[in-house]
Amino acid sequence: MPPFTTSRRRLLRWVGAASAAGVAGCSGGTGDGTELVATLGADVSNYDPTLANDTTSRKAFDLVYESLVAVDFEGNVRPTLATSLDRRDDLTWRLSLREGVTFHDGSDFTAADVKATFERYEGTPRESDVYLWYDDATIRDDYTLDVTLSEPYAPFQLSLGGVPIVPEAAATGDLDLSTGPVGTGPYAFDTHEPDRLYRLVRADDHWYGGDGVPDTPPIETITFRIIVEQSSQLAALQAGDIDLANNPPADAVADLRDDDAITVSDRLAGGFEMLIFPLATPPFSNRDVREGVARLVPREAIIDAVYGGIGQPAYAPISPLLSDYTSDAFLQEMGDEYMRYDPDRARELLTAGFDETGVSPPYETTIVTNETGDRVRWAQLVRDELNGTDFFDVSLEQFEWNTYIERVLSGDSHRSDAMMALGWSGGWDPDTYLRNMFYSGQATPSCCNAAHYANDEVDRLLDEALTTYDTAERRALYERAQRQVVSDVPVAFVRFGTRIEAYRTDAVEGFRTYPLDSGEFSAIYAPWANTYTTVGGS
Amino acid sequence: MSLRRYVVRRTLLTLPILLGVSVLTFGLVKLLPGTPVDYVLQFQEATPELRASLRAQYHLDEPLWKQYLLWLNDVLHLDFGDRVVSDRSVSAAIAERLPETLVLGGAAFLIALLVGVPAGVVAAVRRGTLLDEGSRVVALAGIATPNFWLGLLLILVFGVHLDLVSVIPPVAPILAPESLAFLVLPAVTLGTASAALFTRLTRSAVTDQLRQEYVRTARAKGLTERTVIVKHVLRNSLVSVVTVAAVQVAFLLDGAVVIERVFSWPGLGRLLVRAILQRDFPVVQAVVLLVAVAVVVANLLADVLYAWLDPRITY
Repeated sequence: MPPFTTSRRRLLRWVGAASAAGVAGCSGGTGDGTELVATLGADVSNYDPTLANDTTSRKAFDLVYESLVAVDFEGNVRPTLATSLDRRDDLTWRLSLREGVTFHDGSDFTAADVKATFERYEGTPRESDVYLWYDDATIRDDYTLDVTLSEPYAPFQLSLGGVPIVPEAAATGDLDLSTGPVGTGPYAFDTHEPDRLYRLVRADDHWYGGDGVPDTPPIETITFRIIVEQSSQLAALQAGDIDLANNPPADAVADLRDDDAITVSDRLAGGFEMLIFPLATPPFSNRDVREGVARLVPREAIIDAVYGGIGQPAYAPISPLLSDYTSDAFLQEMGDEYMRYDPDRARELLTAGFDETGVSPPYETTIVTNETGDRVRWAQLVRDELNGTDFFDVSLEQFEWNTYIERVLSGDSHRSDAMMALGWSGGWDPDTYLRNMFYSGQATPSCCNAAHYANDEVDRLLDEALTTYDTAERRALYERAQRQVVSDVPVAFVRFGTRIEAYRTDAVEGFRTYPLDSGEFSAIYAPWANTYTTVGGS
Repeated sequence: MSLRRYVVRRTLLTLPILLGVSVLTFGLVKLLPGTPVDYVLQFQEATPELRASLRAQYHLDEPLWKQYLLWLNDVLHLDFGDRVVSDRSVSAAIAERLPETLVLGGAAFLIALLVGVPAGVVAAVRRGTLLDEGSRVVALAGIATPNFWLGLLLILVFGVHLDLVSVIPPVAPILAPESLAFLVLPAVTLGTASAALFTRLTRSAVTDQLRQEYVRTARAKGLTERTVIVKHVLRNSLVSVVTVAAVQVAFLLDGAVVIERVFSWPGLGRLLVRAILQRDFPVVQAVVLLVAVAVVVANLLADVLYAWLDPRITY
């Protein structure tokens, strides 16, 4: 029987000693009974990596599946199921695989599983995870295979980290992943009660055996309670009903920090908030007007008032998380030249821009946003700044998420008169911060370039950078691309986001916050990053 | 007309209502902006072929009338199809959550009746006293308080500060003692507004009845006040309470959408909200249809109860 999540003390108060005696017997079992109770903010909808498009599902199977490589907390590629990746030429990579690894269903992990995993993606909603670069794979022996790319692809190694390896049987139809994820990871799937809980148990014989971290995860059971309402999640944490709250709202962080029983861990993440300009519509077709608006975005005030002081002003797309590709000095330079809050400079630019376009102020327009509380509140601050000038009469419109996304990605939002408030999540590779938003071929409705920003030089730089394996060369290319994008101001960058976790100080030890979406729980047991978590008591 | 024939006729009359409900359910869902395909693809780059094949999978390439007929045919066979967001069947998802919602709604309904009706009787019998005024104030507050806020307040007081109950449902069978203990707060939250409504309604019905001549007759022939109230007045007052009780079934299902979120209770309300946000059309249609059927059936039962409560009602 699973351990009860209500405390014994509480049960005693409720049902008296008689039934509590019966409960006490339930916490034993065969294992050591260590349990971590964490939360998910939505229900898990898919166990299959080729179908799961929501971050909740992806973080829920993160400890169950493993990829050929893992990306550690600083963005370095670490071997996991692969022991080495050798580039034979620009298009061919030889992958050597770890021997003696078994899936949770008992089958052995071999090269056939890897090839089958890749090819399963064809025609699925997550097709681009693999088919952006995959052409073919040749199995040389059980533990060696050559992967051929469709063109040189610099983020190849990082991309492998985003492809969870499944047994070949899932591709042939002999294994049904819709009943539960089956991987090689340190935890195996146990049970999922929709909208109630999702539980993982320690896998019997995980392959890891090295120094630094225990051979098996110290925590036997991880129970994720599904709690949609943020206030309820915080109450559950404060009441001790859960040990760890994933992603609490930024405005609650100050309260949580005042509570000695709770530790708040926050870390810069890979993503930014931005205000997208409709480039085809005057006066936003004018570059000076756009820079004028960008210089009226009160980033520091937004971070203080909306995000409880957490986060960092954004002046360019690539997150400072990627220290190989950007730097604080570069961001400050971009801020000084094109973005930083400066009402005086803004007035000069707006005067010149409105003159040039012939639009007579005040220009009546809207900022559209979805109903995410933080986003609405920063958009309000921007609206107030703009209305504080003589140039704009701005109102704010909120939409339900699906309605909003359809509007923004419809393909003609760049011709509307509305500025769009949106967030973007990037990954460990710099391309993820630029291509989908600023490459001309990614203009909506193909993907997400809602401004319909098009610049040949940027396109060329992004293409070249994507096929350049040398990090220093790539960095130079991305710096040029970023400089061009920022100076054209198709969007006003607002803030680099953070990941926040809060946990019971007495219950959880060793936990670290992973900076990217869906990797949040990897710190529970990540031998490739010398990281593991323990729970106090029992 | 005999009661039995009435019931049969009344039941047959619900069929066109249900058909109308099915058209509305289907149509309203189609009016939502966005399709399942948008949800499935999110921010992924997708080829036109992939988009087209996904559209075909959800029959979105058929004309609307044909989509409706295909759907209706499945529904009549009690087949609600597969979910969009996962490959599980809609029926299984509903079967999982129906007991949770029934238990929560039933408990709330019970609390509403057991608190509301006696409170209304007491207020009517003692009308004009402090007790009557007090019940009026409490009832007004109960109706006016948003249940979302009330739920969070109860969680903070009883779950966090007093630490008497768990903030999230215990991991135990739904009828286990700790589950029932947990249910107290959500049921009270959900039942408060209905209890308040029943109080006011019972008070006014009982007050009306007390003015009737049969009450004077009953008292005159020496019946105890208790018998007068319980056997005569209350039974006659209940007719209007029953009507409203039937409507309250819909309100309780409505309220469950919010309460289930606040208390992390895995019922139909949670399923419905998420399905709407994810454009999981088959689930939305099935749940809305189910709720509509529940309301239609509740009204049918109310009509039958009238006849039983008041034999003077003929059809």
